[in-house]
Amino acid sequence: MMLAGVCVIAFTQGGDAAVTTLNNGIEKAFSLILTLCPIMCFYTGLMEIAEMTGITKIIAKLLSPVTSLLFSKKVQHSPAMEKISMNMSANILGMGNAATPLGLEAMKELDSLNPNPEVASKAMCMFIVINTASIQLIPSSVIALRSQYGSLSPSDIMLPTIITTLCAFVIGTFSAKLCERFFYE
Amino acid sequence: MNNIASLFLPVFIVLVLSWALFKKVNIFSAFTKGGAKGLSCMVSIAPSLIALVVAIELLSASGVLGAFSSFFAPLCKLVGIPKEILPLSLMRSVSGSGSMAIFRDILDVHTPDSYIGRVASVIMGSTETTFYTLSVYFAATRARGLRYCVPCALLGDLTGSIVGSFICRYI
Repeated sequence: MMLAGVCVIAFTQGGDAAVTTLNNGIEKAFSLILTLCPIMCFYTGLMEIAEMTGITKIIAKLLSPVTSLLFSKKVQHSPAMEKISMNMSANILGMGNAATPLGLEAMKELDSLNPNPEVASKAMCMFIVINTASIQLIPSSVIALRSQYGSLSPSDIMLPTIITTLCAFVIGTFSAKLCERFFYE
Repeated sequence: MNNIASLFLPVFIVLVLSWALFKKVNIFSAFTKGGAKGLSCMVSIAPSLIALVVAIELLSASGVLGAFSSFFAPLCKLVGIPKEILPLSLMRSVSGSGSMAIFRDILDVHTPDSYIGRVASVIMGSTETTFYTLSVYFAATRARGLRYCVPCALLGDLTGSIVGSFICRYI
């Protein structure tokens, strides 16, 4: 991907443009990591507290009707499941900042469960698909932007958004389930 | 509605902390213990994260997406995605800031309450920056082969675009 990008830019826009984009990318990575660091620390800290009180277990139980369809028994009974459930609920409630650290922790847990660490496990793929479809009840940033651009009813996209995101979620997870059969059995 | 959404996080924090007080958990030591875990996780994912972010930046600046866009246009007409939406739905999977710029542009040109503006809003709200999520999350693992993960995630995005374009005609 990097090779293709550099070649195309160098060809079509000249070497200078390629270097500028490269630097832009590095700068972006830098600020991403710097901003992610404290966010990460804060929310993993908060989650440690939540874990000690048992709140995470309750949330995992609340989501279990859905998650039991998506993940294997082995994953469901592992500590990764709590992290996955917390990540899903953070996404649903629109707490994007909290969702990423939880997702990373969940991926670490799944990595330690993975019998063949070189390739992504079933649970990892499923978890990524769930996250990219990102079910969100109230798309607050979009609503804010719409009203900023003078929309008369900024929040009337809520219902179509929820229906759309559910469809994306169902199709995504369903295809991942199908691929599981195809690739692993 | 917006106010409700912004209340979730504060309520959650209050709930966790008061529950912890009630259960007599040592809050500060738990917080620092968890925070240290988060920091070490961050350090371990940093190198792969940098590589992937740079690669994505190069990809989105290279104009490859524009070429894709004209290539896919006839196909999209078939499934009902308007051509004004196409650059957005392609960019949505690759870059958060890039798709945000396109989204603002669409709101500006087509107004938020038009059909195009509404489809764009639904797509922005219903899907995530797939490649960003992929690169950040897989940076935390040792896996290098991703199997069917990318196609399935992109299929979800495509579903989002198609369903969004369809549903906004009726709701």
